Amino acid sequence: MRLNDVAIEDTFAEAFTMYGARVIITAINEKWANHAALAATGFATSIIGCGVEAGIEGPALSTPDSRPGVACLFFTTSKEDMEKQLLNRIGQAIMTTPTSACYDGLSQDYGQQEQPAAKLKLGSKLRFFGDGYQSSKVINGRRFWRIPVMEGEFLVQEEFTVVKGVGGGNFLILAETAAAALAAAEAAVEAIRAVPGVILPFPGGVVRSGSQVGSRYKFLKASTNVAFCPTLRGIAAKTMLPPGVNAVLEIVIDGLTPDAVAEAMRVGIRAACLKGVRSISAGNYGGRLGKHLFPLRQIVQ
Amino acid sequence: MRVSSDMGDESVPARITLLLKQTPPVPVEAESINPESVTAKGRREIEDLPLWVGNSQERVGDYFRVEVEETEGRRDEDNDRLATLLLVGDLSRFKRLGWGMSRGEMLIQGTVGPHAGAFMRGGTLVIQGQAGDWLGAHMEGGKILVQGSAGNFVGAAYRGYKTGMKGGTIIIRDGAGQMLGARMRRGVIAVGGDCGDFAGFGMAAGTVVVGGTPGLWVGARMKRGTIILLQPGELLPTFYFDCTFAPLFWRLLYNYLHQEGFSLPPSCREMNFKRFSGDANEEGKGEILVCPSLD
Repeated sequence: MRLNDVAIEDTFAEAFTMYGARVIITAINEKWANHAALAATGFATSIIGCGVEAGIEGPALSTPDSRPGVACLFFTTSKEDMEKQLLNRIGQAIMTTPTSACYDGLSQDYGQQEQPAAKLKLGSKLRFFGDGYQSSKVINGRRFWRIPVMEGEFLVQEEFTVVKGVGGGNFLILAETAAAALAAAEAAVEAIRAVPGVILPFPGGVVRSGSQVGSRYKFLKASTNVAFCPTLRGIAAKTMLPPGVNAVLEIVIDGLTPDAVAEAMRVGIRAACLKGVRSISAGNYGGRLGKHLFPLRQIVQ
Repeated sequence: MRVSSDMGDESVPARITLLLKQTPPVPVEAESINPESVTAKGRREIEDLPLWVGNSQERVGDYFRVEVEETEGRRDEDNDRLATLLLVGDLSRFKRLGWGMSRGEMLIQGTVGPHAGAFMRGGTLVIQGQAGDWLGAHMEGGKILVQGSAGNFVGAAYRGYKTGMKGGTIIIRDGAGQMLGARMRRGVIAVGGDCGDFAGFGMAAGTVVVGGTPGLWVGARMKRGTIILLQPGELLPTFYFDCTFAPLFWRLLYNYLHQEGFSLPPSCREMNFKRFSGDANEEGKGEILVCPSLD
């Protein structure tokens, strides 16, 4: 199968069930909402080394306080990790940002339709920062904590919804040059930004150091994806690089639902089929480990 | 839609209308009239519901003409069939209408007597007229919307009780009497007009919004909670000025009240308040937020 003269390999992406949360950050303007969002989702590229995968989903279309807002998505492998990560990130990155407030972004979508995986009482733990002067308000059935800070008050919702999402949706861009691979990856990222319910946790949405499971070193769980390293084509035991490919970039997608991840892969792959790209592939483990499989050819049709 | 002649069809929700035939000579204990007590009942069953009129027990049918209409109706969160109850007439001698109701909708076209919606736990009570004293006393949930004014002790605690309203929302378009929200523990009371003395007396938590001019002794003995005054009022000396700021929760509360039909100017959402802490004679963790002006 070819798309815009780019080969779509007959393979599939293998993704895993992760726990997802959406946090809505508001502030006096977009600039400060973005400051908080960037800090809260910083150093959250891979679950392997960061403990969480996070990113900015996009501007929040409506916010509880009617101010400009940004939606961020967070993904972890357990509900306990989610609580730990969100407590740290809301407390250290969002509460510290001037004029910010923080709300659960999933309560409306999932509150009535689907049983959430968990409701984390984050606000009622963050409130202790108020040193006894904190207070709460129940508005329209939801409790919000008011924590006094030097600039006024930090408002944070008490409960945050956690749902089962999908982590590790991906595709690989195999290109003739590094520049061509980057241009295609940027186009893919741009297209995926318009898809709701997904984030691209790596810097700029692109990862160059894709990994393989395990390594020759006992202390290392993951190591460089040898089969896709162009500099190792001649010496690696096995290479997955077709002739003419000199650079590979990966797009990793985490989403709240399998459908959202599939849609992001579809628009991303279609956008990435540019001049200089030889083929599109995907990372998998033979289909034995992940619950979610995304066959490339089926998705792009 | 069709009018049922006698027994209600149990498979179809109904709209039940009680039209006042005659004004009772003395106050009536009407706690039997709420959406739950009339759901899935036929006309005769509803007419036979008891009413204490003075010291004699009489029937709903003695004072009301009952109409049962089958409708598409509404179902509550448990998907139960629910009757919508409509009362029409001057019910100022009927006490405890909607007492303890937990779901459904009750619409009253006319003035109601005291204790309407007291101990209410859910559902919606709409009063298109004036409400008497003790409206929503000890209320725990649900909504009361008054398209008129209310008497004294709205959302308050009965004599001898420490805690009044514990949840829910009361919205009054016009004014309210004394002791508004006295000893309330949770919930929201919003009054569009003026209110009497001792608004928020002894509050333990919750929110009282007064759109008009407040009476004297606002927030006396309050321990926690919030009183929002959209018009300046005289405060007790036991309230200390903190700062002028724009509390973010007010924007959420404004949006909620606006959604519920409480009319406020749009500019109101983003305004600054003067914050006063008190009552210093108690724990002093309550607050009165005063809007300098609503221009």
